Amino acid sequence: MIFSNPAALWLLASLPVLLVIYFLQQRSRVQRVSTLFLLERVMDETRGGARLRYLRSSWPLVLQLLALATIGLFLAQPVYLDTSTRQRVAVVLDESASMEAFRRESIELLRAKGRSISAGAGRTDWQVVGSLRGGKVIYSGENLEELLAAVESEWQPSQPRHDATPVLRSVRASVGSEGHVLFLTCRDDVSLPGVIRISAGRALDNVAISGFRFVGENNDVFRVVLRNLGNTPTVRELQMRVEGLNPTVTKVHLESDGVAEAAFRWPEGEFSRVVLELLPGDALRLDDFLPLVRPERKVLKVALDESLSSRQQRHMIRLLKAVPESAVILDMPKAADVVVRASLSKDNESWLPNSNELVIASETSMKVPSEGQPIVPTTHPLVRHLSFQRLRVIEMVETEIFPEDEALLWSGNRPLAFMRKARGNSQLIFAADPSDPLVDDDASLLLMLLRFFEDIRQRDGGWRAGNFTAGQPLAFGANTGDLLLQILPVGKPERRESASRSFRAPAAPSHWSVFSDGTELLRGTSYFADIAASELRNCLKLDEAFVILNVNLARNYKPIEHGWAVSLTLLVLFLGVWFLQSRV
Amino acid sequence: MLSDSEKTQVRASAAAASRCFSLPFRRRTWRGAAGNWQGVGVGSSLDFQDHRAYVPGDDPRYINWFAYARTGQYTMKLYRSEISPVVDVALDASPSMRLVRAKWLRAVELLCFCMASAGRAGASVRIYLTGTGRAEVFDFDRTVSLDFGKLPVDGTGAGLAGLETVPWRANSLRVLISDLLFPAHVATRTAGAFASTGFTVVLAPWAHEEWEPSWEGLVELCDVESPERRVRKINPELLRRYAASYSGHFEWWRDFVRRRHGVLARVQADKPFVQALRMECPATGALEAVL
Repeated sequence: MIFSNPAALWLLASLPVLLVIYFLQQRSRVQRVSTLFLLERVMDETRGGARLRYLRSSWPLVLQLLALATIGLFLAQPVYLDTSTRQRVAVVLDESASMEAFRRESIELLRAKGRSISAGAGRTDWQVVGSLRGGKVIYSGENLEELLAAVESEWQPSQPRHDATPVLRSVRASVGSEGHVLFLTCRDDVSLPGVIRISAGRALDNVAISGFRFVGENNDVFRVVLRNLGNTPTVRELQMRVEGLNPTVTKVHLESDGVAEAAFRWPEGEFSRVVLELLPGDALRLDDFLPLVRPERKVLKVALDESLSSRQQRHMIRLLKAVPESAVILDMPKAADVVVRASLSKDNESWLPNSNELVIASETSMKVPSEGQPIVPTTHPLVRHLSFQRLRVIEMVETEIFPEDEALLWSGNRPLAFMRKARGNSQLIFAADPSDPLVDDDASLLLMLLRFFEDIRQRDGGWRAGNFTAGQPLAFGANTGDLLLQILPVGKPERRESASRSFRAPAAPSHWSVFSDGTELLRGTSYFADIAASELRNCLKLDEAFVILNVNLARNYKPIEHGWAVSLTLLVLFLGVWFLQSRV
Repeated sequence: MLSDSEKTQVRASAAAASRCFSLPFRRRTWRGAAGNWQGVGVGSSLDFQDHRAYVPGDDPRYINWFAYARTGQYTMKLYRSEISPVVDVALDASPSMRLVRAKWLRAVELLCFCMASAGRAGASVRIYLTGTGRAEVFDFDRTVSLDFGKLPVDGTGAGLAGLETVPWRANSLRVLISDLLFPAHVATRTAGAFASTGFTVVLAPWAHEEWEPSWEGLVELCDVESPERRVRKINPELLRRYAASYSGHFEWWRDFVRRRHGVLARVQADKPFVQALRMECPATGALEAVL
């Protein structure tokens, strides 16, 4: 049984006041006596609690107290829960990294609110999801304790600031008009109808590692950027740890809202992993760690097919010299990242790519002049903001473009360049000969080809060793075998897990490596660098759960029938007991 | 301390009472100095006591010469001695005696009456003040002039403090003036007063408001003879039980005094002195009517 108007219970607080008034009215008179020993003989049984006994025998006072208590109880409107009722509650957990600073308090708040919400219906169907779109369901069931255990173990808020609105809308729709949506967050930047927000956040100062950059020819020096997201100046230590070496500590002074930089030299020797830690740590630890590896780009291997003429091969070798970290291989086309070949005819149905390819027109293919038609680039990233007007004089092969192909350049109504994708491979088809002396030195054409090569390199990781933001999407080519991800989180034991060719960098600050068939494809680190999530000064407490409680009170609770009759009976009973006691 | 008018009033009422009543000198025979009262030994009074044969060493003044003339034998004719009685008065001056003014005046009247009655009988009187610690010898004027408010208080609440130190004289008439408002175990202090060589009269002044107090409602009761305090709700039922306890207390005292061959008479303070004496004293033998 609860009270739908508990404020009326404050009336009960007047009972002690009434007693005090009564006591003040009934202050004892002082009487000097010579026969106290005679009185005590007959009052042995009443030695203690004379005032209390006096109250017990003061029937007007007892009546007043009873009347007051009864009035208070019935103004409070006692109601009882209908156990046949059922409610659906979806809990959306904010997965922003800033929630990590309030994780313990947030779970306790969820525990408290969950209990009061559970008490509002006979049964409660819980569903817990994360705020990231497409996130998995953390819990679904009726048991609040199991829900809390699942949240405890699976909710690891470490994502950058993101918009939770899509997930909230989706969940709002799934629970229906009768259900409730509870959003556990630490800010009030999301406000949707039908979404109840609770927050255990509070405004905090925070210092974060906000970025870094490697400088020098061999990336042997790196500079770390710190930011004070607080209202007071502070001094922090930045400690560089390398396994097998003594830590290096640099003191950094940060003004309020200030930015500071600290430079470190990469340790000499065969040290591949470095961890920087900001000391002393603050509430949000994710942005206090910066694991690093020395970045090393992947070498792009380009094979020149035999179909290329010697002139075309020379031209391509010259062009590839402009592509950093690239190598030309002539005899092992299967080991190449990109194959350049020259075989283009009008009928190109059999060109579905088996690898990443750049296909150009062979010297011997039938070409026609472009007839001075303007060359129009599309919005494709490879040709965006480039001008190809010099190609108006080029001779090109008449070829057919399929609906699935992505056009890059048009010469009138004829495709001059387009992209074809199949089996995870990309094929850039250029319906002309780039070594044509008429367009040999065209910068736009050169840039388009360079962009294509870089795109291929990035698709296969792009790096042999690199530092990535937490959750950054990464992908390997279609020809890559099964991937194994070996993760070494900062301060935690190593773990291994399988990964798909498209995966995200681990969320926690960590060193990690990607293996395929025992070969290390990529060595990387994950670091947290989202200033918006590190900003804790706009966090605050929120509690809108009373809306659910009020709705449940109206829906699931019933008033006590014949309440006045019950109270009258109780009153008579009290009076009867008092009367009998006084008679005895 | 009594005012002059009170002293005058007390003396007058005591003198009037002494014309109606006297201490119970006739109740028994006395030993002591020559006086007007029949002694236990041979003396020179007119009361014939015995005849016996003369033995050497007898006082020749008591030889019955008429009998010698008739019989030729020395015969002694003996008369009772006449002596003056000895009176020891102990006045309980504990705070309970002085709580009610009328009761204290009645106690002083009783003391004054004892003085007057003893004076009429030619008795030697000593006054002891008890209830304040050690018993002290006082004379009447000093007693009535004393500022009792400055007397030390025993503080134990036991009552009759110092009574055991009173040097009761042998064969004396002992008068104890006390309200007897103390627990029964304190009665052991009266052992000296009830010694076999004397006769003890206990005169207990009492006030009506002690028996039927006007207490009502929540009352903080402060004992006058101890620091004890009690907060009690007083209702008629409790007062009824209190009155029964009060009566029972004095029944116990009557029995206690009777067992020790003494006499106890309670003297009400709220009535005229002679009328108050008449209520119990003659009937119990505590006082004798003056013939």
